[in-house]
Amino acid sequence: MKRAGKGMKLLLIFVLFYPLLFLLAGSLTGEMEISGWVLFPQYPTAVSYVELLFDIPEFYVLFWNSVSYVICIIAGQLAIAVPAAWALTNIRPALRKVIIVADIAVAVLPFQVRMLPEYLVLKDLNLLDCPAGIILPEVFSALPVLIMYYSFSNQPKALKESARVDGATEFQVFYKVSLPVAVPAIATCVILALLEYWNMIEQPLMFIKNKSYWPLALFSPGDAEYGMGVVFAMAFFLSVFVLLIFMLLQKYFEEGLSTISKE
Amino acid sequence: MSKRCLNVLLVLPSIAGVAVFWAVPFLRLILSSFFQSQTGAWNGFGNYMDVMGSQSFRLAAANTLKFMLISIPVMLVLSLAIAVFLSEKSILNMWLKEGVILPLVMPAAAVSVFCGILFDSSGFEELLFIYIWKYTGLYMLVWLSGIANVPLELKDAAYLDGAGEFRYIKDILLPNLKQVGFICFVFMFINSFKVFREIYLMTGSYPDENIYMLQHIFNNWFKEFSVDKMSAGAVLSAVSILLFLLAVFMLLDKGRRRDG
Repeated sequence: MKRAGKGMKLLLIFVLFYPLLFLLAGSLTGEMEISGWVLFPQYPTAVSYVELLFDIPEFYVLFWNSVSYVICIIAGQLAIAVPAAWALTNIRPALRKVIIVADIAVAVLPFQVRMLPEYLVLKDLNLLDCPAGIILPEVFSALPVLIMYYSFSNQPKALKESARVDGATEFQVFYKVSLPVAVPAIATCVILALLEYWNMIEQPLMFIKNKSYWPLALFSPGDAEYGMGVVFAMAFFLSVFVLLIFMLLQKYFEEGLSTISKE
Repeated sequence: MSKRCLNVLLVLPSIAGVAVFWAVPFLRLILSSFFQSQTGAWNGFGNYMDVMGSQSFRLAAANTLKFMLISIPVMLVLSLAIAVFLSEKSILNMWLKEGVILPLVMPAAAVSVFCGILFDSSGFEELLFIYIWKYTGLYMLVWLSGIANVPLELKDAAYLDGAGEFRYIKDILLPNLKQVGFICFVFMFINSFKVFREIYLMTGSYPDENIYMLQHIFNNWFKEFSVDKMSAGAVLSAVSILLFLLAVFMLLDKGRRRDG
């Protein structure tokens, strides 16, 4: 019975990872061989990877666009949200409640609601058709503020109090006491942002006409003249890239989620 | 620096940013939804009438609603079941977990490659399948974090009292997961508007009629620059979303108070 369960699980693991294997196989298959579901290419070749890395400049540009969008947005979000969330735990409850409710309302609204107002603001600020117009609004997202707020407010009160009694300045309390305990929640923000902005499509599609500023998610290999092998190589490379980052942060991510979901 | 001063300094950038990029523009939107943008004349609920009367808005709203009504319950149950199944720590379970998360981190381009190979057409069912396959892993992680918060003593006590696995899950585990369940639900609700991404990758900007969602009609209005319809439609969406979430929250809160 137990062994059967194990076998089932192994089979499931195979099924779940099959897409990745399939991409790898496809990328190593010569142009001629691809005609459906191959798992083991007869004549493995790395020619697709060579082509992807050396012959397709757009791929480079869009890949680095995506990387810099994601890094700028995440860095900005943390710089704004973490201190703000910590300060929120200290201010008067009535004022705090107003800010939290406003933040929740902003965080739950989908892009279709935000599109026109965001467009008008970007137009006023002269930020249309440039990367800052994509980055800045997201830097001030309310979601990371909320995540960090719930994480800070779930920290034991005694932590801050004892530091204050010991004569720490307010800034030291934030930097040396609260912040280290909140690392898992920060990792949660980072992962959620990574998943969100790595796949960002709506904003650049609407607000950026200049295709050299587009992120990778908008790169549609289907209509280009590259072979299927290159498409597979790209898909495999990107999957592994994000999966590795994810696995690196996963432990903290799960820990962070539990600190937030506590009552 | 005084304590109050520091707090204000830390919280101000976030408040200012939210105000400049989100809150104030949205208030402006509410105001403009009652006017005709070209003449600047007061239009009352005229814009709203236009939106409600529009055939394509009704189609998009119905499709979006239908998509939510199917995808959210399926994902809630599926992700919870997988989370309970994988909650025990073992090497096999760890790899299973990575496997469930894999579609989530798989980039859009890879997903679209699969859609092309797996499906001949791209209709409602295909979309549902891809969407559920992709996001179930995320919600599984959220459920798992909730399960991790249920004290182990409760489990031991239940087994000592002779409760089986099933009784433990039904009577102890699930009642302790209400809070996490609500978080999951809110995330699913918000994210179901982002199904536009999957549709865009499957079919581009002009999808089949039965996967024509609210985001599409807003994109169309944007291209035609029908500001009146866009603002009224946006306010309409926002109000219904906020009211709905508020209702769910109050229902849950009432339940919690009743339980003590």
